[in-house]
Amino acid sequence: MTTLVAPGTPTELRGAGLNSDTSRAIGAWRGDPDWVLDWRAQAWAAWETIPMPTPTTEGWRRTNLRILALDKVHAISDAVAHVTSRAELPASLQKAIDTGFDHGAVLVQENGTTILTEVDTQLAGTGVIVCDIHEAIHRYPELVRAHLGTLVPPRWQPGMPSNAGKFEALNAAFFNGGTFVYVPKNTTVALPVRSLVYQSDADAAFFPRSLIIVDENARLTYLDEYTSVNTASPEAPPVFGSAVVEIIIKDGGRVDYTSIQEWSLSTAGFLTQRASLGNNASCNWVAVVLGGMYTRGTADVLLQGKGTRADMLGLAFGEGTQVFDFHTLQDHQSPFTDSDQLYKTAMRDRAHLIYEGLINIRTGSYGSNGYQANRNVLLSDTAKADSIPMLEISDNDVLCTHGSSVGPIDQTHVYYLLTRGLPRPVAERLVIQGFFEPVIERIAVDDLKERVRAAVDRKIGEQD
Amino acid sequence: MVAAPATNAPVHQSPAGGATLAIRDLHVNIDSREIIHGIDLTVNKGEVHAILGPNGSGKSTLAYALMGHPRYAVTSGEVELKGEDLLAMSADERSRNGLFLCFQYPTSIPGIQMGNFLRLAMKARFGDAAIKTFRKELTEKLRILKMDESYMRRYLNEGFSGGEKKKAEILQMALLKPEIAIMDETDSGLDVDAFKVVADGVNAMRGPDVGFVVITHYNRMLEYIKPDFVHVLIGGKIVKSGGPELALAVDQHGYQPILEELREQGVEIELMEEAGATYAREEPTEREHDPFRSHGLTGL
Repeated sequence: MTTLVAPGTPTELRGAGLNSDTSRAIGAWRGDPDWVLDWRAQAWAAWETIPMPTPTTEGWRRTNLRILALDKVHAISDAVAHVTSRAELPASLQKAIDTGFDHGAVLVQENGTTILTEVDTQLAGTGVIVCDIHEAIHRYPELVRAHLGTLVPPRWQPGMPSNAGKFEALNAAFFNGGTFVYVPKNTTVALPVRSLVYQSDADAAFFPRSLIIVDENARLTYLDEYTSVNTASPEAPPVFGSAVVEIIIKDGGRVDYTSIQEWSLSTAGFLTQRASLGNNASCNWVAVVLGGMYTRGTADVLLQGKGTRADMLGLAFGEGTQVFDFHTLQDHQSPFTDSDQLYKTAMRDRAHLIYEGLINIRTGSYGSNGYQANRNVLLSDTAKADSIPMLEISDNDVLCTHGSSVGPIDQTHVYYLLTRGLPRPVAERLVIQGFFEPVIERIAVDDLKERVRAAVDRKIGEQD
Repeated sequence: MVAAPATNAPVHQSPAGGATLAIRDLHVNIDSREIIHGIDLTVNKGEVHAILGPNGSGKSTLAYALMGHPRYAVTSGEVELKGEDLLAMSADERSRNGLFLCFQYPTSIPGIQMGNFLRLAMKARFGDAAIKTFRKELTEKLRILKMDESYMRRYLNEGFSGGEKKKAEILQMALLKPEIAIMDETDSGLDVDAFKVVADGVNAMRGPDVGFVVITHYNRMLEYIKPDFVHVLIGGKIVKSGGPELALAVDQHGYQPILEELREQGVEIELMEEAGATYAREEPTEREHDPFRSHGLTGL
C-alpha cells in the first residue's frame, strides 16, 4: 500500500519555515483537493489571527512558551522511504512495534510519512479501514470530508470551550501524516489498531492529524504512540510539533483508546485529543505521558448523546525539568451522561505538573454524573504540581465530585518495604508503580496494560 | 514445659563468634522524649525470648528502634547483629543482614501485588539465585499458613482482615529466613483459628538458625510459642528476667507484684504518663500507632 504522491517533493521545501507559502506547498505536494487546500488556508489565517498565549492568557498562566523557537523550525522534513516489511525498519522502531502482542493493524510514521502499513487481511475483509490520512482523503473523500475537523476545527469556533486553538490551527495548516481509521456499523475490531508516530528529524516540526471514526454499535481498541529524537545538542531549539487526534464515536459505539507519549526530553510538543460520543456510546481513554521537555496535553470528551459514558484516565511521570501542562474537559451535553476521570502523576527533580480539568454540565444534561480526581506525588522538594479542578453545572439532578491532592510519597509505605530488605530506590519505585496501578488497572485490554507498565517501568527506572 | 532456668537472670551462652543480637544500654527517644531508658538484652539463634509488659512500657518502641524506624532516635547504647553495628545500618540493610520485624499493624500498600513484592524482597535478601526456588518455597509456606495462591495477586495487605495481615507477615518471615525475628504483638486481633495458624507457622520456623523476640502482653501467645527466656519490660526498662515461669506469674498476678517487689528493693521505676494511663485500656488504635501519620513525617 503506497501513499498517493503528487508532483513535487518535500526536498524542495526543506528548510522552509512556518508561513502561508509553505502551508500551500505542503498541500500541493500532498495533492490536496480544493477543500483541504482551503481548509489549510483558513487554519493559517487562524494561526495568524489568534494571539500567541502569554502568561496572562486564561489557561496559559503557568505556561512558558518562550522555550519554543518557531522562527527556526522547518515546516516539513524530507520524505522517508517506505519499507515493505518490519525487518527493514530501523531497529528502534522494530523494537517499538514488537511488543509481544498481536494487533489488527499498525501504521508506522516517520517525519510525517507513513513508512509501513500492516493491516490484518481478515480485518480488511470486514470493511474496516486503516490507512494514512492523506491516502484516506483521496480514497474516501466523502467520509473524511464529513468528519475531518468537526471536533478540532482549523479555526476554533466561537464559544467552543478549552483553549484558543492556536496550535491546533497550526497543525491544520501544516498537517502532514496521521492515521485514518473507520470501523463500519456493528463491527468489532478485536485486536488493537496501532499507530506509531516517530519524529527522527530534530529540525523539522511534526504535525500529524489522526481521524478515527467508529460507526454505530462498532467497537475499536486503539493504541496511539508518539516518540521523537533528541536534538543534536542541548543548546539547539527543542524538537517541536503539534499533534491532533479526533475520535468520533457514533451511537452505541465503544472505543478503548490508549495513548503513550514518549517524546525525547528535548521535545516541546502539543497533543490535542478530542472524542465525541453519540447516544449510548462509551469510551475508555488512557493518556500516558512520560516524555517531552514541555507537553501541552489537551484531552476533551464531548458527551453529545444520551446515556454516554466516558472514563478518562491519565498518568504522567516527570523528571529533570520536564513540564506537563494538562487541560481536560468532560463536556456533558445530554441527559444521563457519565464521565469519570482519574489523573495520577508523579514528579521528581524539578519537574512541574499543571492540571486544569473542567467538568461542564450543560443545560439539558439532567441525570448526569461527573467525577474528577487528580492525584499528584512530588518526589523531591523542587518538584511542583498545580492542580485546578473545575466544575460548571447548569442543570439539576446531577452528581459531581472533584478533588485533587498534591503530596510527598507515602513514607509509611516506603518504610515497610525497606524493612523487607528492598533498597530505598527499589522501594520508592515500587510505591510509585503501586500509585499508578489503579490507572493501569482500568485499561480495558490486558496487552495494553502490560505495554503501559513496561513504559512506566522503563521511565521510572531510568535514573537508577 | 521446658525446664525453667533457676535464676531470675539467666546467663546467656553466647556462641564463639559472639551473640547474634546484643543490645547494650539502649536509650531511645521519640520526639526528644526518652522512652527506653537503657535496655540490655542478648539473643542468640535457637532461642526464644518473650518480652512482656503493659501497654506503653516501650515494647513496640524497642522493636521499631531495632528495625531502624526514622522516628525512633537511639540516643545512646550499642546494638550488634552478628558482631556488626546494627545502628549504623539503614532499615533495609538491617533486613538484608537477617533482622525481621513482624509488625503489629502491617502497612497496606495499594497497587503493589503481594507476589511481585515477595519476589523483590527475596531478590534483595538472597540475590538473583533465590528467584529460581521462589515458587516452590512459596507454595510450601502458603500451605503451612493455610493461605490461598490468590493472595499473590492481591495488593499488599490491602483489604486483608487482621488475621490475613498477620499471616502475610509470617509468610514474609518464613521466606526471608531471618536470623533474628522480632514479633510485635503478633497475637493481637487474631481469632482462635488464625492465632493457631500463626503460632504453627512460627513453630515450624523454630530451630537452631533463628532467634525470636516475641513481644506480647498476653500469655496466650506463649502457650503456643514456648519461650526459653522471659523479660518484663516496664517504664522503658527490663525490670525482671526469668524462664517461662515468669510469664505464668505475670499471667496470674499481673505486673503489680513485680512493681511492689522492685519498690521494696528501692528501685525507682519511672512509669510513663502513657504507660500509667493505658494499663487498663484496650489496645491502641491503628491511627495512634501509625508513627508517620501522627507526626506528619514527610519528604524524602
